[in-house]
Amino acid sequence: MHKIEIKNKLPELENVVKFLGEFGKENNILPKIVSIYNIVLDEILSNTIMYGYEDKEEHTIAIEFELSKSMLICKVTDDAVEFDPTKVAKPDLSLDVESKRIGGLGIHIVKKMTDYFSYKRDNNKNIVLFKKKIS
Amino acid sequence: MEIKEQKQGEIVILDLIGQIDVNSSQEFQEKFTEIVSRKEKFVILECSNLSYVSSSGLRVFLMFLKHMNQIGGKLVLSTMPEVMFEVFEISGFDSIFTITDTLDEGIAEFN
Repeated sequence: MHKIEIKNKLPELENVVKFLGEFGKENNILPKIVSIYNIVLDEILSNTIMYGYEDKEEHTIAIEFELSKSMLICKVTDDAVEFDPTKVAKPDLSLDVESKRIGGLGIHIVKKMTDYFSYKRDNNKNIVLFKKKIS
Repeated sequence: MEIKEQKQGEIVILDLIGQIDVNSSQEFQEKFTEIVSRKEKFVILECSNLSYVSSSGLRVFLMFLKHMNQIGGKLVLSTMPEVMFEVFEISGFDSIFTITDTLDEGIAEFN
């Protein structure tokens, strides 16, 4: 298990990108898969940091990676307000250029790009788990 | 991210380099604002050097397209990497943008 902890500040996401890049290289994970994990984590973590905290305190978010035979498993744990991203409604993708909206698109991308995506609330913490086949 | 610019006649070619995520989308948006203030009408966003784009980046691509449509200009996206095209498809963006396989084909769109 490989773990990185960040504070609830957007610039900290750059540390996640760096960590994932090194983890990918060490474990010979295809750059394409690393990119997909970067996208998914950008969506999930930016959502939590921008909308998940009602106070101005510093909070810690933990991101853990585990490599199984054919899957890369990622678990994100935070103490933000309760939020189940798996329940976010699918955005209307058929809209024309002028009516198109970005809201809800991030989580839709996460659902489509992962093979498994789950949420649970445990001990006042949000735990998001996602997996993708890597070979 | 890094953005390199070149001009070919009236066409502005922006070579987007790196990734467009929640942090770097700010830079991309600043470039967009600059292009708007310069009243450029023909823009190619060359994507071969992009590793990925998240929804924060999609927001700026959409701003670009809406603006170019409004002023009667044209926007072309060229040489999109596989993962980026997947994000565009998932988001229903592949049908609203002009996307070409190569930069040359992108330039040809303006002829």
